[in-house]
This record gives sequence, C-alpha cells and structure tokens, in this order.
Amino acid sequence: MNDIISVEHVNKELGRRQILKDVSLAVQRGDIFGYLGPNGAGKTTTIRIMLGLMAANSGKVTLLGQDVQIDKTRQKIGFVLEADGLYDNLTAYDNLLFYAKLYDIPKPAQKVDKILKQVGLADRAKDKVSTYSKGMRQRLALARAIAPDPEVLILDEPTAGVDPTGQIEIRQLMLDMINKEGKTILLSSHNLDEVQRICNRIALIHQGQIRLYGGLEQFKRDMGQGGLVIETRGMIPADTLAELQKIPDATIREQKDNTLILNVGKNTETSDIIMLLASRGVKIEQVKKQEASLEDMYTAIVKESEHK
Amino acid sequence: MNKIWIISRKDISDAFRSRSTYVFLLVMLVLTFIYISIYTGTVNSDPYKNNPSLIADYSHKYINTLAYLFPLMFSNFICSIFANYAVIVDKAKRNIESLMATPVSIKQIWMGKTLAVTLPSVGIGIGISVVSYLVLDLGFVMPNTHSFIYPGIIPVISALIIMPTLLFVIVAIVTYIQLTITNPRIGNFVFSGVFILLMIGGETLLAENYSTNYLALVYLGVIAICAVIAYILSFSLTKERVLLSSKV
Repeated sequence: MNDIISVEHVNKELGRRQILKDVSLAVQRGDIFGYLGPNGAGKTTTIRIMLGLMAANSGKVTLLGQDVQIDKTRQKIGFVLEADGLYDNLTAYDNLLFYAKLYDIPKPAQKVDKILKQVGLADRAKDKVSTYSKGMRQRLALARAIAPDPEVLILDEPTAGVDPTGQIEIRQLMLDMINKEGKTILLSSHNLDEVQRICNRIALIHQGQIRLYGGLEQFKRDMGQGGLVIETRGMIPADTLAELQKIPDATIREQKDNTLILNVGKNTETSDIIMLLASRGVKIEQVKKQEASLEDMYTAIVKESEHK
Repeated sequence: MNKIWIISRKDISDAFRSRSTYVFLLVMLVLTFIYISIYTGTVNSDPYKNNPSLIADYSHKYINTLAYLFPLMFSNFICSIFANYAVIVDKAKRNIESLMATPVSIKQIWMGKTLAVTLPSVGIGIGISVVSYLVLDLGFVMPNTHSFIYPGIIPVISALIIMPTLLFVIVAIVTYIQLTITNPRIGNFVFSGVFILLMIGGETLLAENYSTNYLALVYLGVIAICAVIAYILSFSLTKERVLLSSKV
C-alpha cells in the first residue's frame, strides 16, 4: 500500500454551497505533498474530511488504507490545524502530556521531555502557553503532531502568522522530519516559496476543484523554461518587439527601461531570440534565465479558472 | 473510559486554576445564610416559639428538605463555572477541533466534558450542603431542641445517590446543547433555571412546612426522562455538527 492518503471523487456541500467538487488526490509514502489554493478554495474542508471531522457527501477517503471515520485510524496521524488547539492555561509540558495520554503513548512523560527538546522548547516547558509567541505555539503544535510517532503529518498552514525567524525554524523542523525520520507530509500552505522548496508533489484546488495535480518537477518542465530576462543598451524598437512575438511560444511579459522579460515555452529557442535582437541592431548587455516558478503556475491557473 | 477520564481531569484542573471558581464558592456559602435565616425566623415566631417539641418536628422536616434541595441547588449553581471551562472556552478558542482530530470519539468527548462539570459540582454541592447542615444543626437547632437532629435515610440516599445521578443526566443534555449550538453560553441558562426553580420552590416548601419525601420520586422520574432524552440525542451528536457550530 503506497497511498497513505487517498481521496477519491469526494463531493462536499455545506448548506446550498458546493465546497468540494469531485476532488481526487493521493499522497504516497514518502511524499511531501503541497496542497495549495486561494482562501475559500476548499483546502481546510478537504483536510477536515481527511481527519474525520467532517463527512463527505459522496466519495471515499482513506488514511493508511482505513476509513477516516474510524477513530483508531487517527492513532498514526499527526496534525497541525489552523487553530493550534493548545490550552493557554496549561504549560507546554502539560499540553503535550494531555495529548500524549489521549494517544496512549507509552511512558508519556519521557516522550514529552524528548519532544520538547527536539523542537527547542525544553527551557520553556513549564511556562504557560499564554506566554508563548506565535512561532513558539506553532513549534509546540508541531511537537504535539510528532509525539505519537505518526506515519503521516497533516499540516494546515503551519507557518501562517509567524515571523520570518519563526518560519525558518518551523521549516527546518519539517525538513528534519522529512530527512531524518522519513515522514510523509501533507502541507497546506499559502507560502508558495515554502512549498516550492520542500514539496515534491502538489495539488492546487480552486473553487472546490483540483486544477493541478502531480509532480512539481514535471510541472516545471511542462511549463517550459519559464522566463528570459534580457538587458539591453537602449530601448528595443516597437517593430523589433513585434517580430519577437512571432517566435513560437515567446510572449512579452514586461518591458521596462532597458530590461525585457519574455515568457518562453519549451519549444522556444533562446538563440532565435538573441539572433533576432542582434540582427536588428539591439545591443545586448545580459541574458538571464528565470526558472518557471510555482507562483507563475498558481497565478495562471487561478486566473484561468476565474475566467471560465 | 480512560480517555474520558483524561479529558475530565484536564477540564476540572483548568477550572480550579481560575479565581472565579472560588468566588462562586464564596457566593454559595453566603446563600446558605438565607436558609438559616428562614429557619431562625420561623422558630422564633408563633406557634414554634418556646415549644421545643414543635421546633424539633419542624427542624426534622427542615433538615430533610435541605438534604433534598441543597446538594442539587448548589451543584446546579456551580455547574455553569465548570461548563465554562469544559465547553465554552474550548469552543471559543477552537481547541475542540484539535481534540476531535485525536483518536477519541465524539461520545467520549461528550462524556468527558459531562463528567468534568458533574463531578466537581456534585462534590462541592454536597460539601457545602454538609457544612450548612452542620452549621444549622450545631448553631441553631441544638440550642432550640437540645439534640442533634439527623436527616432521614431517604433524604441522605437522595443527596448522595439520586441527586448526583440527576445532575449527571441534566449536565449530559446541557453539554450536548452547548457542543452543538453556536452560542454555548445559552446552555448555562438551564443550570441557572434549575437553580432558581429549586431556590424558590425550596423556600416555599420550607416556609410552608410541606412534607418533602415525595421529592425522591420526582427526582427518579426526572432522571428517567432525562436519560431517555440523552440517549436519543446521542445518535445525532457528530463531530461535524460540533465543528460547524464553533464559528469556523
């Protein structure tokens, strides 16, 4: 069984609103799966269905091959939700101990001590969570997620609202879990840079439907070379720009002062562009390639969906 | 059962960390003086005045009535403070969502929070009732009757067994309501309502010197009805319902 999380043709309505429409995806063992989408797209609803907090109107969701509605299924799932679920009046130690007992973790006290060290909160273990910063709270929430040695982690925006230093710390913790412990992670995030750095597969959901799904590297290849940044000495004449547009899969993204940025597809030959400019007397100072970014894909897909 | 107890213990200790819990306890102690004043007012008036046998008879009925009323009344009074920590704060801060995502069933959560409200309320209700009874008996009844008056066996059974069971089923229903509605504070009106009903009813019973032994039967009847209601409600309690009522 390679699919740790399997979502098959899930539909979900709330009131009269269709929140999820025929959503299907699978997270395989060892994946770092990025789940993206704008606000209100259906990410959190999908995660809630995965965790058994909501029931799909139709379709099937399994975790580790088991029905998510069975409570024992969640014994091997760690999670961080949008609301961290930490009790302000309790210390960090007591918060973790409470959850450790709910998960029937053997020797919970020792486990809690170990986990707190792992996330760098051992020296604040006896402080009330109400005194913690947002970043510390998210680290503690991650600690709670990893305490039961889960096979899969489901993280709903774990770095949201955290300052840059905190984001780096949390990202490092996630990377440690991936590299040292081989965890499977489903990461729902608005932070495209973060997803691009650590995820190997992604799904993009918009208006309740999956618009993009698969391996991140494959998408980048399919999108082509991304962009080409050409710095010239002087402005490029309009007729030359018009000629550029005739090159297959090349479109002008931006032209500002002496910098021209082109979107190029996989069929575009950079040499054709350079030769054209040179033949028109354009003095080229520098040519740089921009890798196709997740942000470009995301923006293109969301715009396309909205126009449909 | 273990997970139910883990949830209860956490909620109970959370409530005892709050100062308002202790303020409520003080208020309850003050309330007991109202009932002591009813007693002293009655025995110092005709036809009881200077009539030890009549006072003894009245005192016996009075203490029995207190045994029926006080534990349930005070328990209900303090239920709202424990319900605050068990349900209301959990929902307001959306901690309930993370709790439901653990391998614990919604029914275990429901029972855990019901016990988190019932157990300390029963303990405190009985405790304050015993203190009130001792203060009344030693301080006011003995000087008038020259004897220490014990409550009857049925009122004692009512106070120690029937009342806790009744409170448990009432709290189970109120906790269900608080888990599934958007404004869980409304559930606290039930506790306040029961408290006021018992307070007014109790004062009437005590003032008019009515017999109270039938109260045990009334309690048993209410237990049966509430238990059936709670059982029926249990089928409609789902995590999704709780989640959607938590202002997500």
